[in-house]
Amino acid sequence: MAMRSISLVPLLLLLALMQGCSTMGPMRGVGDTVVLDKTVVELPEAQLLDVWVEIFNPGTLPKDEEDAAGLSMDIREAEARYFPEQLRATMERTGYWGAVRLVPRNTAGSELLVSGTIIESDGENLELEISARDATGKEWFRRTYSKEVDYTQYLRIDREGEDVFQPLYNTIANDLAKLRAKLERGEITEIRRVASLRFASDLAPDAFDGYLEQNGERFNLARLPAADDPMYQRVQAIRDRDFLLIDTLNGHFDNFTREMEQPYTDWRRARSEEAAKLRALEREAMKRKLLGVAAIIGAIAIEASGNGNRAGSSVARDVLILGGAYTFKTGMDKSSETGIHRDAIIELDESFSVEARPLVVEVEGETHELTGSAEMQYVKWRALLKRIYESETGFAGT
Amino acid sequence: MAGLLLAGGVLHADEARSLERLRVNHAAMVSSEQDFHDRQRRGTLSGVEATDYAAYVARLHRLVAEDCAELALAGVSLPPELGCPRLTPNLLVPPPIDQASEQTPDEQLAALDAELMGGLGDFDEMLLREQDRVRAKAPMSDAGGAGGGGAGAGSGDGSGEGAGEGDAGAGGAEGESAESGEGTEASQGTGGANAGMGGRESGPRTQRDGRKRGAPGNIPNGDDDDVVARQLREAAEKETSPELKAKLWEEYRKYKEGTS
Repeated sequence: MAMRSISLVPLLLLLALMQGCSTMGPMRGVGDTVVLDKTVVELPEAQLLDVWVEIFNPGTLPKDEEDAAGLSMDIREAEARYFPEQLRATMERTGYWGAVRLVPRNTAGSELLVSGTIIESDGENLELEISARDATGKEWFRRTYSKEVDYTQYLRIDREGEDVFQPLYNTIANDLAKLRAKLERGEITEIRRVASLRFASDLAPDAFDGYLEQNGERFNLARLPAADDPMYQRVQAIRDRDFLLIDTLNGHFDNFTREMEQPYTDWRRARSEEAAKLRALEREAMKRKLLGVAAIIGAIAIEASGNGNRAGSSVARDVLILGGAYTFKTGMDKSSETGIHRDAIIELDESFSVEARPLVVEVEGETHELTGSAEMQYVKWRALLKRIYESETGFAGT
Repeated sequence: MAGLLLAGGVLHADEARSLERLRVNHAAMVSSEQDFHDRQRRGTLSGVEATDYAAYVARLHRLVAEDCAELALAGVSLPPELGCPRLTPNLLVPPPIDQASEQTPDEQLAALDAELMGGLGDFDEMLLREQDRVRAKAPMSDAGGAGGGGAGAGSGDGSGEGAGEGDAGAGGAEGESAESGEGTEASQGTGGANAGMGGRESGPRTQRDGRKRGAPGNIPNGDDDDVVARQLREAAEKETSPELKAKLWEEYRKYKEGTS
């Protein structure tokens, strides 16, 4: 007993530590019907925050070999672009936000950045960890959302034309809208200004030194440039190009999503159907094996009770043993049938993986090409702004 | 007419025409660029419209730069409100000597500004080519929708002067943010879950009835305006100088004729 108590201590400590360190919010299960919250009236432009939804982190595949069977990082990489696009489109429909864009990971400059990690995705279960952080560095929330569907729901979405996990995207969008509604007008203005000045100070650090105060990950406004500050206007002209660049990238992401949509939905539906059959067979196999074993145990019990020498009991015992053995055998047969469905799932996964990979490679290539040329251009602009600043002020920047 | 009399004396007729054209192009450029930024900020431009509009603004920038260069080469002293880079001629003609060391700080600044504007124009063109490529690669089923995140936001959040904000807060979403709480939620959605407000698609539409805004009689109805025509029309409508207004309407009419 003492041993058991001692062995629990590290476990309890570990649990306490995990609880203390975790920044994860509560898990949120999502039902089948979630109404998307939309604005009743059009919001004034000054009250809109632009949102950037990052390409998700694809996460890792399940450690359990059986759970991971067939799944691949190629599929995850495709999903890491597909899911945020669904969320982006959902948020855009609410009317609560300014421009909602999909951006590559680690793209700086957003007013509100929504990030995500795929925890689980196998066609039937989707679990995403979502966080949102505004330009001032304030984290709005970090929460895990999960939803389970079965293959019959894929049949329904064929009729309705929306993603089977739409309720999950709606839930995330609704949560974000609720948090946004809590912001005062001044807070929204400050977020927008900080975003703009963070962009400016990144591009022309000498000229915008001192406008923001940074404390760790948090940024506060220290002062504002004049509205007609020529340097600020130059930076804003470049920022417009930054938005245009991201819009162009979004064209590529949009093409990717539309090319992926049908094969991805087909794959999820077929996989989900096979998984349902597999589970039904596994249940049946297990039931038969248990019945078979119970019959055999019953027969042995009859024998052990000492009544086994009677002719009737002997027959009953033999029937039980034979019946039990037969039932057990059919259970084993059912088990081997499950292999067919497991193989079918693996085959489906491999096939979709082959289809998804080139799409991901293509969109990644386009993203890199475009951001690469833009980055080179930004380097030139940074140098140019530095020279302009020196020319305007007579000071050599750092 | 006062604009035609400059420090150097009376202009030749062709110089006067060039200057007038520059004024028109400059007015259209300023007005369109501002409008473009406003619309991007509001998210009322679709991907295609944003592309067309950006191309139009970039073209106006080029036209203004060309006009400035032409007049500067002719030795015309340009009014500062037209925003011409002061060293445009020197940028067009390769300097025989190290020009930078000969320039005043103001001249250097103007040259750097011109370089920046040139770079922005090149970048715009690169993005426009890329957007054409995106559209060409769009799946055939619904190629018109390419553009994804679509209309870019513009600059200007009112930084600097405590820009006036709007009034209403968010409509609809009320209640707690549910930071805690577990379990399945069916049918959550808070208030105002209808109204069909489609975010960026739901922005205010442009008033296109030119007749109500003083369009000349020979100006066609603007119902079938594309984005470029719409901007020309709006620039003409907003212009207060009758002379410039007439020029802008003329540009609009020519454009409509060219596209019909």
